[in-house]
Amino acid sequence: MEASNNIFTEVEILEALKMLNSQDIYIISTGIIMGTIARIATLKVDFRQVPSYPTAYFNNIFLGFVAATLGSVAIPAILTGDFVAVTFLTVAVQQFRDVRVAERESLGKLEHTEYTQRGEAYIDGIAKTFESRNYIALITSLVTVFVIEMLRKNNMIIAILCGVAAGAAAMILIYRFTKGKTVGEICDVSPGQIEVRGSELFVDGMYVTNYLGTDRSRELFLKEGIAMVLTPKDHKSNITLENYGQRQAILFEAVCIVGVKRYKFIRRNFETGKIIISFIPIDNDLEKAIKAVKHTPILENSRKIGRIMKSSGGSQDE
Amino acid sequence: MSKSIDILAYITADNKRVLSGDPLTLLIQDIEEQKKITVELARALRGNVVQLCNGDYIVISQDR
Repeated sequence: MEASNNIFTEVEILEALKMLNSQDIYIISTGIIMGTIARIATLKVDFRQVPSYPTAYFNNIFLGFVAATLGSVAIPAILTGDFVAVTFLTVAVQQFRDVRVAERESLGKLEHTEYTQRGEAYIDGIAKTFESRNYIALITSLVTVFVIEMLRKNNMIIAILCGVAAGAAAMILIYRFTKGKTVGEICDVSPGQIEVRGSELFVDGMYVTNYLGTDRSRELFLKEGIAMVLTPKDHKSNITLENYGQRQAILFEAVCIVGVKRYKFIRRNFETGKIIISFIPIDNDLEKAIKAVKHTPILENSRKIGRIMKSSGGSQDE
Repeated sequence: MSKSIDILAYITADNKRVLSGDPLTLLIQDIEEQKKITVELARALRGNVVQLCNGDYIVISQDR
């Protein structure tokens, strides 16, 4: 009889250990709030117009909340001896992969509705960014909770404050790490001089196209056309701009911001390595178009690492 | 990459360059009429117009 009483007490103790006390709730809540804030802070509706709908905006905030929750409960779960709870992180990874796939599918299906297409490389980049920002939410909450758990034995308020500071630092660091370069950083973007010779279009003396076969198209280009010339700052940047997906992304951004009435050309000059963009916009604002081109992100698959390129054969070991 | 571009119509003023088959080849000797028909065809076919060095026009499909 005494033995059975002892067993009951042990079970009770184990159950009690698994129960949350008020401090745990504060810790987890702080983690969730920090993680969700991290997602909201990285969810900017900028000139790229993604996500452009309130529903998409809400979906992403909610996914960020889920990610923050998973990150917040991981450390308390381990501390209670529930190591299986760590497997939740694998569920999170799977979920974020699905976010990437869903975003890619959604943007891919909308491609034919745009006059200029983003291209698969750009869509892939956007989808990966969406995925990585959920990880930012998860890691922020994980770091916040970890720091609070480390310091909770002292003063709870100080521990929470330290946790918030650590979470914010983690968020800023990861955001800066995952933030890539923009076209404006690797090349100079300047307005180009349009010239029509017969049915051929030239920008700053460089051939663009011979599609201007009709008088109307020639007049339209001379009157309303805009042109930009991208000059790479170095050899490495030149190779980045050679990437077809990158050029498509640049054209998309330029066209997206000022609209396109007719024609859109992006050409590469083999001799100088310059990239020429020319089209007839709806909103004839060259400054705005140049700004959009400068802010186009460098796609991960077109990015070239100089340190690897310098070594022969592309290998660092040689 | 973009799809290949097709010649949709060929407009010429020289009857020696008129060949049967694909693409449609039109013989129009009046220059003004040639210009007008080319524009109308390009609009209907949603194509681009290229004027060749011999003065002939080709209407080609737009790349998307």
